[in-house]
Amino acid sequence: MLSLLNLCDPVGEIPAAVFADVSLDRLLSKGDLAVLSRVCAPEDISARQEIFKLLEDSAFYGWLHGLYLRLKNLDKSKYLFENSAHEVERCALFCGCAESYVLAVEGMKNTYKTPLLEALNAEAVSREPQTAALKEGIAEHKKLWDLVSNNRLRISPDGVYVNHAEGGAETVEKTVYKICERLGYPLQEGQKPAGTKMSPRLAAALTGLWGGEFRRMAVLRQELLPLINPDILRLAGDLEFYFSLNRLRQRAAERGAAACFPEISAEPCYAAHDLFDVSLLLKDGAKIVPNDLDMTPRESAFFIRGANGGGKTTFLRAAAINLIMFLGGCPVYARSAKIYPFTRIFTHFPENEGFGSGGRLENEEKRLRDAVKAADKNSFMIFNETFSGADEHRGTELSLELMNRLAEKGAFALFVTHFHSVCEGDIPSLTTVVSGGGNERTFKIVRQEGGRSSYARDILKKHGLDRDSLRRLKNDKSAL
Amino acid sequence: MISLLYNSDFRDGRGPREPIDHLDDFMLGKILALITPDIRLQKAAREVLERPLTDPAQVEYRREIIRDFTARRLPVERLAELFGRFGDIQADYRKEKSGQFRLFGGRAYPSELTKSAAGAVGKLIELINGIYEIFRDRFPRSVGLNALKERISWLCESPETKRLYILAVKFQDFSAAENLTVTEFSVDESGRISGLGIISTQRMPREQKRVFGKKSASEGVRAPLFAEESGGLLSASAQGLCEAFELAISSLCGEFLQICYDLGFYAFAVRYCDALKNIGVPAVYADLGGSTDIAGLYDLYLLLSTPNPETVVPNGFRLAGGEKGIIITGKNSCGKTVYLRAATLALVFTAAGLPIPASAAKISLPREILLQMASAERAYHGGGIVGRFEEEVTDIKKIVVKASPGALILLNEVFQTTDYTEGAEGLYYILEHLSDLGAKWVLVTHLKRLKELYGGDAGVVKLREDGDVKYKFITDPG
Repeated sequence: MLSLLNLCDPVGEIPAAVFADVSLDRLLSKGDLAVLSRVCAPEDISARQEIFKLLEDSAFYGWLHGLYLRLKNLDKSKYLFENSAHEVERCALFCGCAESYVLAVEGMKNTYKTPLLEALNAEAVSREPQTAALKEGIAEHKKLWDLVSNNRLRISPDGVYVNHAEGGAETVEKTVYKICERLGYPLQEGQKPAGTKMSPRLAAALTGLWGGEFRRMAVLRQELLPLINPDILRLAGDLEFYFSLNRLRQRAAERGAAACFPEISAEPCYAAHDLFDVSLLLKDGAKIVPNDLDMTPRESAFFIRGANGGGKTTFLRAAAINLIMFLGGCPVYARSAKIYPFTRIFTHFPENEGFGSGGRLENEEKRLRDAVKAADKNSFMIFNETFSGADEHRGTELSLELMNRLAEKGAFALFVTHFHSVCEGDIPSLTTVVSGGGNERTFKIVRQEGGRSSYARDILKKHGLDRDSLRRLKNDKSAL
Repeated sequence: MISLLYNSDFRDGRGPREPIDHLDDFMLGKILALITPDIRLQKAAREVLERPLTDPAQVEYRREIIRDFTARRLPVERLAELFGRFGDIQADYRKEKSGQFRLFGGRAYPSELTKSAAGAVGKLIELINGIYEIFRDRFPRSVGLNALKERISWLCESPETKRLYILAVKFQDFSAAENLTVTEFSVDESGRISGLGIISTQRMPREQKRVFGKKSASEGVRAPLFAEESGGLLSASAQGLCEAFELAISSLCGEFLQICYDLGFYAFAVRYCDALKNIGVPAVYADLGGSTDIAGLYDLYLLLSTPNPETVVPNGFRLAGGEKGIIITGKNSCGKTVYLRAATLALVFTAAGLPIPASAAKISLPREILLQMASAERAYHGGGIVGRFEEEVTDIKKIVVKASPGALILLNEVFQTTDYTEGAEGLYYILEHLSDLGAKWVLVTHLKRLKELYGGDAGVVKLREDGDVKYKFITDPG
């Protein structure tokens, strides 16, 4: 199947709840999420990464965007043609539709040496015989169209007659424009006015006037239509995914945040340097603080503890979003990273954060039981304030039990909790860093084991009109 | 496009400058009202006076035009009235157009609008002919009026104008219901009708209507259109023509409407010159040079408002090229502010191209005029958030920021709402800063400390009231 997204079938699926939990549904469109929900095989991850890397090159971007515009144009002209109201419209719109198809197919040709783009080029080459035939047909169709497109109308209370244009006659409005120009008032180039829709009755009169030409155009259309294969239109959706994710990367770059293409690890691991939560771009002025993450098979599960508002949930989101990005072959928001292509992501966020269902202890236990049962070394699990409905003792017990089981199974897990006693267990912890006597949040997550002037002068100084300020102003002006 | 206020060099280069603030503190509004009760002329004059010229050539351009209207008595008010009609015709057409839109529920019938547009074009051409009649036997000497006369004459005599007039007259009677209209069109790549335009139209005689009922094959194929469809085609054809006529309307009005506003200023100038003549004071056009030296300068407001203008005392005002500024001191009610006002208005009126009430004058046109009236004499409306002194400081700050080399800053009793010593010291540094910048200043003040600070500075002229002659100012030897 013609695709710019996949070379092989997806290896897993990310549930919609995960996107909601990590706020990706507010950052990306439904179409983008639909693509990201299908977890890529490692071959597809690197194939997409190749295209994202190329998008940084303006020439490549220009070509790909050009192809996208051609496909959109084809989509539009095909729609208009299929919904034409009468024979005159059908004839006029067919040419546009066939030409857009030829342009779109020709736009697919490229010389880039990446698997997805090579497949695209091969498809374009295979369609060359059809496009050549189409071009010939379009040329003949155009000649006929030029004959029939210029006409004369006689409008009187007695009736309207359509006839061949005589040529050489100038409309009164053109005469007035020419006079204005000679008087020194040229017409400013404005927007070309939209044409008037032709009524089916006038169209019928026109086809009557040019019977032979319209009949030949209809025959040509019947011959050429089967050569147009609209399956290439699905490429527009694929391209939208690339452009949308590329825009996100540019937005992040404008805020000074780096993105990278992680190395695909053969062994389960999640190591990232200066990882950050890209959903913070949604909040104007939000401070973006990057953090490091290092998870290995030996230490695959971590509790995250610390002060309220210290950035625990943001850190969790950063880990999850970037993992999703990686599994979709997209740029990852970190300085550098090496990630294992997990095939399953599970998130559990409590109801009071607005993302999950349930929240009561029983419901949580039931839901978690199923998730833990299915977990293996290809799973990445994220828990945010799970068991917060239990008392501290019971909550700690349940949390430790859950994380120990996941660690035994080799699954990777991050668990934000307020149960401080969890640090007494074997699972390592990450904590938020606060400074200024505990009042100032740094949003950093680290691994942790256990003489006065007078009134007038004041005002003058306030407005930059005192002696010193004026001297500085003078110096500044001189420097300029 | 012709302007009677700015010559072509100015229009091609720099645009009009920002208006001067606080001119009403110097009684400008009252002076304008004393010269003419016509609000329109007052407004036109204010617009010009608030934007002083800096280029002597521009000033001379206006002076020539004023002389044409005063010495050679060209009928400025009649011309202003005629040029004002461009606006009336355009407004009438717009009114008619919006009336049609209202009448037909947001849809206009272009065939009807075409008639109105053609009518407006016809009226405009008749108006140009009327203006030409006024200019024909008159021979202005100014560049501006000559350019205007030339343009009007050319338009009147052009065969193109005559063709446009004939078309306008023809389409004033255009009737969709009674005309046979031939149009041409093409079908665009979307299958829509484009380029629909009228080739010819003629009124059908009654007897001919019957003939049209029996068409021969050479007439083409009859399109069985509903009445509203054929009406739509006719409307679409007329639409283009209507827009073409609208271009003629907007172009003609766009070219000449501004002249009406320009003439408003000159109508004011004529009345101003007449007022000075009636009072019996000399009115001079200052020589424009490198320094300012005005002899026998009268305060315009006093001249116009006093029942006995002969009692107004003239003064001299001198600011040489190398001087930094002038400090004017004196007792209360000795005429300090009047002196400053007279000098300010002389500069502003000269920079507008007008004569001034003085016996002789040489003026260096400042690159910028910046004014400030003290809080004691100005009503502040700061809302009580900050004190009066701070409001003053805010205003002075604006002046300091705006000031540039060649600017003239006129200050009246500023910084007297704080401790006088501190006020004087603060003001001293500000004035020094302005001097360093290359700006000149004139200051009326009670701050004695300031005079002390400038005691040994020969670059600052100190004026004080003459002990012998009331309202007279002389140089203070210190």
